[in-house]
Amino acid sequence: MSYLLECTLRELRRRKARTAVNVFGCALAVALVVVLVGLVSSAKSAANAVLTSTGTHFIAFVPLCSAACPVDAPAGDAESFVANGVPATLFAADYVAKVGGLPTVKDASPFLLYRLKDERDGHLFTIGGFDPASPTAVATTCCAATDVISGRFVRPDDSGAAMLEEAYARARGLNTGDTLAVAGELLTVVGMVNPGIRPAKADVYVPLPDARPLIERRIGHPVGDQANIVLVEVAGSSLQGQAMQSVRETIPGCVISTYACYKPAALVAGINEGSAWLLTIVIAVSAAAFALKSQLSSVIERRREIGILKAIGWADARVVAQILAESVLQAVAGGFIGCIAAEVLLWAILPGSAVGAAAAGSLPGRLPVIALGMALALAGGVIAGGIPALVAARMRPAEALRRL
Amino acid sequence: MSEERSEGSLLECSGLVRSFVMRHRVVRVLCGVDLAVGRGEVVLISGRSGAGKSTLLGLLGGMDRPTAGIITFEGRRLDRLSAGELAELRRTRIGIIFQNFNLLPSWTALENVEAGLARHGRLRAERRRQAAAMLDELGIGDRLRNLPLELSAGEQQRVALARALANRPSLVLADEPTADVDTDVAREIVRRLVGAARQGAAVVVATHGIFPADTADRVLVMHEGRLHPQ
Repeated sequence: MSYLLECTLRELRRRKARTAVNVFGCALAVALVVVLVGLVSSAKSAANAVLTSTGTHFIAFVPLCSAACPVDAPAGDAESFVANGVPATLFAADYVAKVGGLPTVKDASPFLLYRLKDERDGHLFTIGGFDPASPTAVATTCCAATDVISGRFVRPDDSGAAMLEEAYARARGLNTGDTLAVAGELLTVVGMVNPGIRPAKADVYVPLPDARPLIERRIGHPVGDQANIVLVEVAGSSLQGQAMQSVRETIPGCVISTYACYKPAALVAGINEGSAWLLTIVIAVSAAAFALKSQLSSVIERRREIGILKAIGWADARVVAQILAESVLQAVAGGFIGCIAAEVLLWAILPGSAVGAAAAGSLPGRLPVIALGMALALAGGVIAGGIPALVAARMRPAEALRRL
Repeated sequence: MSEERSEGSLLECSGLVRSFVMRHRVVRVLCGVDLAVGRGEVVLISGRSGAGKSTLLGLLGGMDRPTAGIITFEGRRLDRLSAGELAELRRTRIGIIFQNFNLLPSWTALENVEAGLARHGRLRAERRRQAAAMLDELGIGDRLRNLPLELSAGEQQRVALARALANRPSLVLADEPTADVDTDVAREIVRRLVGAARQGAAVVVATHGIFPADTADRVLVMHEGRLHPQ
């Protein structure tokens, strides 16, 4: 063992209380950094996961009066394809495929929304044909399984089944299990949904394969695989504007209907990201300052000893190396203990909260944070030992001895 | 200003001035000290407390820099040496006994002496053996593993003496070496310092009281920042 290491270990061993305080301080700082960074990071991820998918959807349709389809619009009470309350035209299915293939789009799904008159009393209602096998865009723009308030959600293999929007069902006095006549066809009500505010909402929801023949019966010609609305889910709130622009370019004359909540969501996600980093930096700087203060106190206390060592001929470099080695050893020990303490804290105490569970959930994911904690401890040790050591080493021996 | 010279001087200083700034006031502690000490000579510097004896020893040992004046040791100008070169000199050529022992409190007696031994070219075990032999010679061979706090004042001073003499230095500076010890220990310390001088070292002792003047080759008095013959 080198003389330097022996002297260092001896100092640490014989100054147990001071060593314990320094190691504890460093461990506390590192544990705080690892735990807080872990929590902040997982809270940020959790919040961003929500924010990223907030408002990241819209519908695109071509109004019937647009240049793309110069046909007179039907009267307000006439049966027609509708979207966002106005008559809309059909477009070819490959437009949906094109939209689905855009890099900013996560999912695109065809939707048929047709307004028709009830055969018995003539009231107007809408029937929405959707693809239950394409849940992403459907769930965010039309209706989701979580919107079911009674019965069940329509399955892709269902035939002759329908879901009713809650308000419409109440108005018509219908319940789950009842039958409903649409375009001369009897449909069984399998569920009731309350989708709330969605851009593509209908009174009656049926699978797309069932919707087509019903609508064809009313309009008198085949619909084929056409749709009058494309339901779009964007890859992230920050891509929303870009996605809307791309869809406008893909479907000429289309109108996009969305809720602008993606804008504050994207803004909040940005603030979240920024504040997480700021908090991490504040914690790291505080921890380093704490370690520096602790080590500085230790060196000031030992100024006389440093003076003695210099007076008996120890070179400045040797004095610096000795103090630095003590500081680094304490920092490494503190960092190691701090990391273990942080792990124990994350595993044993915090999983009670959702954020804590997320933070404790993935050790490999947290390795960079642990590495950051260790690096911080090491840097703190070098700075906290190096600066006071240099200050002490620059003093003349007589001055160091005289000061006490 | 008086001038004290010795033939074949090992250590010489002339016009030595040392000032300190205290509470925005410049305090001149040494006001032009001239001194020459030869090999094998014991020089006793007496004077009242605060006269500047310790300050002078600090300058002679290269632990401090003079405000003005020159110091020559073994033909080298101390005031022109770097901090590293001065440290090397203290480690290999100068032995210092401090006021109040100045032992490292968390180091044992043996470690304190070993810390003062020049390292280069010597194995660790050899240094340790030498330190132990030195302490044994001074009658505290059974206290090697004791910390300074576990030793009496006399024992601590003997450890300090062992540390100063272990390298067989050519210059020994002793600041009040007999101040806090009993008569027997004081006698032993004086005997050792004189012994070092007989082996060729120059010995400068600062004292304000108990040090037998008859053991010194010369006795000088520090008064008003200058040295005067007694």
